[in-house]
Amino acid sequence: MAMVEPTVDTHGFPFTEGAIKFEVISTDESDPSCATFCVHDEDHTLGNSLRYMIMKNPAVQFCGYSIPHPSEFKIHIRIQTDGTMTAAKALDKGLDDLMALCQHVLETFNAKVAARDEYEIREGAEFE
Amino acid sequence: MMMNPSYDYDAGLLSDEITQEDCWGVIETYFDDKGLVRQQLDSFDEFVQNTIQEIVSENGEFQIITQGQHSGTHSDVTRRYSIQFGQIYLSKPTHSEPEGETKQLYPQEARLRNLTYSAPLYVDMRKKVEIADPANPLNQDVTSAADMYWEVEHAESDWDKVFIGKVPIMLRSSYCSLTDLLRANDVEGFDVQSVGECPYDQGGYFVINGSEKVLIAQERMATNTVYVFAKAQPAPYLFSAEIRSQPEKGSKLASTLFIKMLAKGGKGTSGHVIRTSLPYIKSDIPIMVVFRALGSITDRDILAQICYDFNDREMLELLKPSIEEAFVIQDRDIALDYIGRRGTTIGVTRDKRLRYAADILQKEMLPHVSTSAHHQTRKAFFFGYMIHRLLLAALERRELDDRDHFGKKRLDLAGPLLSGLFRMLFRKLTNDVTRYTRKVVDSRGEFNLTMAIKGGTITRGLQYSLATGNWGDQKKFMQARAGVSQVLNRYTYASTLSHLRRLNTPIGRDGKLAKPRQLHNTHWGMVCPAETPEGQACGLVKNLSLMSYVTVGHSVAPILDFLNEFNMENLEEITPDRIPKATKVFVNGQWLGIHDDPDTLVKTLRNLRRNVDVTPELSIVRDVADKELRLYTDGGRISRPLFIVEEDQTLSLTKEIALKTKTDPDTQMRQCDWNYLLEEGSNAVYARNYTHCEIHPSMILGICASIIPFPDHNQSPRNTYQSAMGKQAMGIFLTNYQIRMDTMANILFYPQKPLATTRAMEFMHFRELPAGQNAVVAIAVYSGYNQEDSLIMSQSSIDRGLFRSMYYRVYMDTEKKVGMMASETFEKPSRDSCLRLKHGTYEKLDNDGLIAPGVRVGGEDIIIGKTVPIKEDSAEMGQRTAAHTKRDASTPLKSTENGIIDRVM
Amino acid sequence: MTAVHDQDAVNLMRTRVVLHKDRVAHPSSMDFPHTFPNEDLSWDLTKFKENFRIVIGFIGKNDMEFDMIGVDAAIANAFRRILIGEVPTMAIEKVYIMNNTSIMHDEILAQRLGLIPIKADPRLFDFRRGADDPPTDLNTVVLKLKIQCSKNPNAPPMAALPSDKFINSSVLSSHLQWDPQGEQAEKFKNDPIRPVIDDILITKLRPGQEIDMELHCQKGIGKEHAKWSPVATASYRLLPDIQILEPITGDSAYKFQKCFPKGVVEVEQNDSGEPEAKVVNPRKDTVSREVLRHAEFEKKVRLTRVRDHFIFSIESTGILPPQVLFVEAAQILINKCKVVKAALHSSGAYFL
Repeated sequence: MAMVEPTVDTHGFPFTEGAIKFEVISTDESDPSCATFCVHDEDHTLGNSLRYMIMKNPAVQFCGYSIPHPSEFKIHIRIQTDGTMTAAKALDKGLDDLMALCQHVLETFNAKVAARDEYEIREGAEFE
Repeated sequence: MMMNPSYDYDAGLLSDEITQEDCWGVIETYFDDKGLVRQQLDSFDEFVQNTIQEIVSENGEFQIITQGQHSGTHSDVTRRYSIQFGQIYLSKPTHSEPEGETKQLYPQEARLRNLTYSAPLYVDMRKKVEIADPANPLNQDVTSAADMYWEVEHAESDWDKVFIGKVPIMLRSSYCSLTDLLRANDVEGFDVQSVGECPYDQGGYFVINGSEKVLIAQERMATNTVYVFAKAQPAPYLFSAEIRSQPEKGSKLASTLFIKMLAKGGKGTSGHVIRTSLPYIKSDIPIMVVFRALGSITDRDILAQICYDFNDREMLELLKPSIEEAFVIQDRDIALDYIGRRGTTIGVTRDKRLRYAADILQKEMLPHVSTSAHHQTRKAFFFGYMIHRLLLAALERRELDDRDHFGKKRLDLAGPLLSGLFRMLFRKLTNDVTRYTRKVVDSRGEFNLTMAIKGGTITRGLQYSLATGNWGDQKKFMQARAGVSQVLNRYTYASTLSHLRRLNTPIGRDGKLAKPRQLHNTHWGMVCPAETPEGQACGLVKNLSLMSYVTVGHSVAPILDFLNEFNMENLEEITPDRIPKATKVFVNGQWLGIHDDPDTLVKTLRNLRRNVDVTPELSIVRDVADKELRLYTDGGRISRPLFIVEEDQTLSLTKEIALKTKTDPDTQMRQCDWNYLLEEGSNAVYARNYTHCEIHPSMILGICASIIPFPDHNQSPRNTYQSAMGKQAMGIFLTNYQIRMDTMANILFYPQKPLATTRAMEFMHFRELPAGQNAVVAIAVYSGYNQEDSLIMSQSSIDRGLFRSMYYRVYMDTEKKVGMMASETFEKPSRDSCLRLKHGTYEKLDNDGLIAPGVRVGGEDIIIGKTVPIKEDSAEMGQRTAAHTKRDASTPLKSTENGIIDRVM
Repeated sequence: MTAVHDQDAVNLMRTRVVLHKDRVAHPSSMDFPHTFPNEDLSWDLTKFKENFRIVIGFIGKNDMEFDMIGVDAAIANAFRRILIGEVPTMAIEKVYIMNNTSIMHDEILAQRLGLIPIKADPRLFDFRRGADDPPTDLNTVVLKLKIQCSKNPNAPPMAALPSDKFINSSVLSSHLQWDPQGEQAEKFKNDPIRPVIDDILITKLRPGQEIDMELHCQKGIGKEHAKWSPVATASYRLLPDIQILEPITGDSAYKFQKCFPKGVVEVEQNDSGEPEAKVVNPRKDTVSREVLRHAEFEKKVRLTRVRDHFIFSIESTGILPPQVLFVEAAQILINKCKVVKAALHSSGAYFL
């Protein structure tokens, strides 16, 4: 987990409201095929899974992410495409793909849980 | 690896063999019985129960004589006033309030109120006035006042139980209030809680002005031991035999005697002459002169007293130059005159000179042999023995002595340290009383007891040394030893224990010499091989091993009686030619006689000791090779228990006794023998016969090293490092930390007992008062995300309470008196009446100037409000206005700290 | 699972993580476009759907185990991390101490209270958005702890246990009383708010000591503080696959069997009547690599793990059933994507 000292009393609320979520840094204006994006309030959870999905895109030549400093709660994602797609589009597609994947996992899981005769149900198990 | 399945670990339970488990049973009884600070307690008890009375009796009488006025009247008499100190009484620790009320004091109250935990000392006194009338026929022709006939003039006046001072009391010693609580209540240790003590606190320290002080044991060379050293050439002499001689009783400083074998012969002599130093004599005296002055006149007699055996040509040859040198001095008076001339007195008559020399020989030379008249033979024999030892070394028949041998070291604990101090202070007190009495007598005033005796002398003197650690007189603190008394370490329980078992060698820390710092073979079982600081004090500060004990000292009288009864032949009654065949008997370094059957003697002595017919502290050292038997009863020896091995090479501890241990610890301890260090070389007859058996090898370790699991698998400096670091561990140092108010204290939220324990931890209550937590550790791969000497910790473990701790700090202030009338006041300072306010907030104070418990504070918040009245005339650098009557003297919180007020007292 | 014997080297590398004596080969995934010639490894949802499987092992009161097959470690790890650190629960966050005369300090007491799992469905509460957001019945649950210890007048005369001698000598989680606010009483009447476990020891008291405090529970996530973590732990491991390359027979078959936990390898009679070691249940293996320490098995066995087969285990603290937690976790990952997507679209970079 990110080692962020809570500076203000957050009362357990995990998100910084109204703050900038997304930034584009170090982009060559004339070449949209490569860019570094900064996503605030995210860590390896989204960083690594998103990197994987983006790398699955054949138009992407390079994708990597980093946490520049352990006490700053943000990630950098660097994308470079072959030019057939802008880096931002590649990121967008990555997000879409990840969501689709999750949706499928979710549906499969729910379906499997519903099929109660296919697995062992131990004492005390609760279903909603 | 597979264990042999047929091996039965519990076999010992069935067979008669003593198992390791039985040994641990013995160890457990030992610690149940003695605890871990027994040396401190016993040493202090000895001081309180015997030494104080001895000191008082020793200096207990003084007289003042007034000469007659020779006015020819009837009142023309000589008066003698004498004051005697008798029985002393020590009360329980008390405290007297300024209002006059005196009540019993418990240590916790002393700690909280910055008092000294001390008990008043009382003494019985007698005053006597006598007169001697010169007109009395009995006093005709009497010149010296001492020889006159005295009549009692006044009836004696007695004072019972006069207060002479307060003596700080060691916690848990026999005079401590807690000891009574423990005795009254058989429930082990658990009633001291009612007076705010932690049941695990083991005492052994003092409370002086509210702070806990330990007396660190001081290591020194033993007195009354002959050392023979070779001097590195080139030097004026080749070999020397030295002794620091000190009689058993009394306060005299040790007198040193040096016998030297010169490198170059004197004029007209061939070879190396031997000379000796004598106290108060300015130059070295040829040994033959000393012998003659002691009454051994002929060469033959003298040689017999030195080398015993006339067939020993080699040794006689070495003595030849010395005989030649003293050829001109052939009788006793000339010898005495020779010595007397070299003394400090000049221009006195020959008669006086002879008496002076004889006095020096009687009283100052080798006082441990004797200081009374008619013991010249004994002294000559001892002197001869020293020369004998010197010659043996010169002839390479005996090894040179080892300065660092631990058997020749003694430890001064609280008892001897306090005795020294008390003796000095009591002398000062009697001197004051003498001075006062003289004044009273001279002015013919009334003798007023309360004026005469100033209780403050002893009270303040003891308190000063204990509080500052400067051992000695306050006026000459430069000469005093510093650091004898230290503030007890309360980081963690083990550090406290370790501190109470520490010993210090008072030699220069910057000394380049490595030898005294090195671990010596004779340290085995006595001091911990691992626990010593690094750097300057390395090897000089040591720690006692778990089972070692320091003797308190016992009288030699019973031993002497026994030896005389048991056919020891007295030195005065034998001819020297018998000495080579017999065994010499020494008691506390004093050569008493010889014995023909040392085997039986040793056996009998051991049996007496084991049956406690003589003190169990008696050390018996049989040196077979040198034909010597050395017995010791003096205090400060380091000893440790061992199992007894019978003559048939079986343990005298039987299975039956081992199993009985738990019910009857007494039987057990009798199977253990105190073994004072055997002198080196004594086991030269590499005995196939054993006399003692180690109880358990892990008992060679001290407190801190006993916490290390598997220390024998570590590189040795690692154990030393851990022994130093273990003292800084955080845990629970005592269970009463919430009411103790230590200036600083760290307490771990969730201390855990270690998963890997050592057996010795049990005795150190490491399970009850643990320090540290069991962490699961992973070592990351080579070339992984590693950084030397750092850790990555799991955030969630921290969230869940791992390594959480509390930190306590005490802020303290008092309302002091300012001048005659005014006093400082605790209050909430206000800006309009008060100058120089601090910049922290005063808002958190209540009206009484104190903060309330439970208030969250930080930064430089003021937590104690206090004001000092300013003098009328002071302008305070022009800032003062008419309204300003006070100046702020409040206490702010440390700027780097924050926290919550836990308690206000 | 049968051993795969004749995979070619590339195939092995792609589908298995091979464990050698001194290292683990190819731990990171390589199924990306352009990695292998003539192969299209770009993202394809239909292909993914074909491959992806979930097999539930069991579901219990507080724990469950299931296999997730056909995803990359990056995805599985995201689910695991979200389960531990980002699925919200309700936990005691504010402790208002009116009185505490116990020997335990307020700070320690508060820390201990925070860790008690509170059975309150976090999905029915809001986050409290900072200090300015006032506590309401929608974001705060109030519990009360008011307890006093006294001597037990009916104690047997020889009683030695504090629990016999005194009343309320131990403060347990069951002493926490829910104080419903606003509409809470109605809303939770079927499932009153309470500690998940009743016999958690909070502190001990002795006669005359008392504790009186009000505890406010708020919604939070484990990343902020472990007390909000809905799981004791959530973990996965890769399915082990032990490949026997040459038959292991005779005595060494038994020795081979001993290198694995019970039930992983069985020794059976082979066709020639010799005892031969066979892998029966690789799932049970801990992959200790003990077998690789013996030279005789060096060329005969290969220890591998299946790269995309995750055995997931979720141990809930009891606030929510484990299967619900996983659904929550997946939903949270989707939401994360949505938030970033929205931010990306509003940033302007998208339209470059």
